[in-house]
Amino acid sequence: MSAAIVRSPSRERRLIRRRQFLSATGSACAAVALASCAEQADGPLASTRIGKGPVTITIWVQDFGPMIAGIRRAAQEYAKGEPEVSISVQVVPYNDLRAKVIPAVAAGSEADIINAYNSWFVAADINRMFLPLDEYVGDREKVSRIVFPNALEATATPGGRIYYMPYLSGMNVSSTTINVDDFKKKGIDHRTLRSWEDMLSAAKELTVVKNGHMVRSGISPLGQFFNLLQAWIWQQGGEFYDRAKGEWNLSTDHGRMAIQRLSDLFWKDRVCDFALLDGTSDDFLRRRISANVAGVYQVSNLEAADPTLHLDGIMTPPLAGGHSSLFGGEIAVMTLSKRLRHDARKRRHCVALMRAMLSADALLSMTDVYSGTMASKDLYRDSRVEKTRFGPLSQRMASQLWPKIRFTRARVSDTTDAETEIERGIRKEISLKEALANAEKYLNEKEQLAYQRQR
Amino acid sequence: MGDIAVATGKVAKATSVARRAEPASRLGMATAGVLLVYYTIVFLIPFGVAIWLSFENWNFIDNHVFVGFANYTRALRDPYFWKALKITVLFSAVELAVTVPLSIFIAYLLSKVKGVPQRVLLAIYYLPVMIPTVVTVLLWQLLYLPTGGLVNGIFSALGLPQQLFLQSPNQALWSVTAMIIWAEIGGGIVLFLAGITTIPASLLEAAQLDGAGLWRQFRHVVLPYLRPIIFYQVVVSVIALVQMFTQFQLMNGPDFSTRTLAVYSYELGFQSDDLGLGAAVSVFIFILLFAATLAQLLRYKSIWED
Repeated sequence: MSAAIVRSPSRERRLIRRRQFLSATGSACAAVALASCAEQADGPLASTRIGKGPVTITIWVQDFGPMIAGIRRAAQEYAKGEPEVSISVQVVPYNDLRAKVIPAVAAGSEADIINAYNSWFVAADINRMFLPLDEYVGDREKVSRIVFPNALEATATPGGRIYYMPYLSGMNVSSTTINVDDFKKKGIDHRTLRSWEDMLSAAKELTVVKNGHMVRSGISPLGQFFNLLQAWIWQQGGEFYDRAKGEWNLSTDHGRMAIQRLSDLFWKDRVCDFALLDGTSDDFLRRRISANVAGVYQVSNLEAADPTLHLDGIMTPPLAGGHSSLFGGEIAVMTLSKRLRHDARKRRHCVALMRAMLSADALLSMTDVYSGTMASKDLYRDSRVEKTRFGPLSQRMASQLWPKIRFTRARVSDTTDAETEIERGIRKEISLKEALANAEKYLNEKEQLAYQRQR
Repeated sequence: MGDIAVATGKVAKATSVARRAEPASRLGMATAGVLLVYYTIVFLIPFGVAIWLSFENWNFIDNHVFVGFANYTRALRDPYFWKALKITVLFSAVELAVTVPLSIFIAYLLSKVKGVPQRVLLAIYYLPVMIPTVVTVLLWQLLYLPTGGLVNGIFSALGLPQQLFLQSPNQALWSVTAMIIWAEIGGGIVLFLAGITTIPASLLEAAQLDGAGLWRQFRHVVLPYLRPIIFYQVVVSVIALVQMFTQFQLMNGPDFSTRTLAVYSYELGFQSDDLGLGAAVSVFIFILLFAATLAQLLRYKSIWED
């Protein structure tokens, strides 16, 4: 007998083990491959496919629960009446979506309907990016009858054309989230605060210091320094940006006064402390703040995370004796791919679906889970909004805030460097004067780059 | 003598002509051709585009404008570029200084344990290398949670003060570094253990007979033998560490405290739409890596010649 046929028992055992190992590995790989091909779980943040028709519409939506719910519901309703359509709602985290949209548009691989933010596109020539919507939704005058005109102002483009429809806004910095219980315990009615000075007095009362360490901040501006700075410059009657020249100028008397006020919150008024806060929703959840200016959209998020929290929203009170202009941060918008220009059938569905997503019915369902404001006037004209969980708050905020919101319409799509410099100044890493100068330098550099490209 | 030289010259020339005339294998040419095309597509073209972009002002959409060396001068004047460079160099140096000696040491200890225990221990050390990076990051984010995290739980049990880890600008970089060391050390151990097992047993026995203890055997026999592997590991690690992206992108600390050059380059290109500056930063990364690798090669050459 040859050695090839006769194997020692140990060799035989080893061979069997190897086979078993290989088959087990093969099975595991197959299982993983099958699992990755399977439909994704239908969780609140999961991507979904709706309908089975031959016309496939792809939607990119930010991973924000209320928006996904609203868009998904509108897509389901639409697909019911249009059997030739299938809709793929693809959920993408904010930063990834931000990084993905512009390269995808340039490559022609973007989704048919995109939920994005207006600030992402201000440094690019919008005429080259998306489908002009005027002929489908009407001109600016017509659109301003269905959305708040100021919301439309944020989407203003050269030639007055409309490339994206305003959708919603969390109203960062122009609205303040309040811990109602904290205010009640101090006997302060947050709805009576008329000016920032009133708010500051309340914050001083609400701030708690134990053994020399702050354990609760009366009001936090963390993460909103730059927005608040711009709002306060406007409220003092100043200006920091000249669109015609494309120039930023923060180092003015108004700018210096605004950054000084911000700094004073930490070092003079002592209503907040960098050591206590991290600028995330955790601050509220851990009961470390009584109010913050990061926007009324937080109310629904925070109450969902902790149902024992009792929150409310108010308009961030403007400086006493000043203008009541509020700073408009980025707003969520809906836009259509320019590729649809060549596909009339799909374009018809996309326009209709986008209208459905922006309809009062679709938005109404969102006010059960979202406390921010919508750009649609139709929604707030609907009496049903008063009966949803966050409808009354959203309605109150929208009616108070939208008429006072202003947008810079600058050509800087990413202000992170400027924000960081302002924060460094407030943290006393550099002087306030230096902080303003550095922020201004970054902003002017970016402005000039955009200007140079679009010249 | 002169005849011999002439004859040698003729033979050498004939051999060279014969080599040149030797027909290349078609399979070899085809394989090399495919690789060349692949290499061109995934490396040469992107590299060329990156260099071109570094001289342009472009954002994917608008007209691109030639700006000469402006992006390079902007990068050199940008304090955030220098901060990212400092973080990259500091992290790479610390990671390397810890991982290489530690993996050699563990490999040496493992070489003294034979059979199944060695294989089991090796598998345990190597396991983190096989875990996908995203899973590792999620796992460590949970460990580092300031409230309810395991590490602070242990600190609390030991009576140590609670730490902020990833939420502290001073601790975030070192928290990420610790995770990377944990995740990467297994690869080095396997490599060094393989090197140690090739050392002839007679050498170690001779050293033992001469009265060398474990430490002297390690220092005078094992380390010199491992020198080429150490060199390889250092060169490869430097390249990998400087380009490391996922961990820093997913575990970003406050105040840009974990923003390396690779992450900064990505952010400039894809979040600020400043492709030119992003490309200039990536060219600086290339120059940095090239210089580091060249310095190591020269140093290794001089050591080898000694």
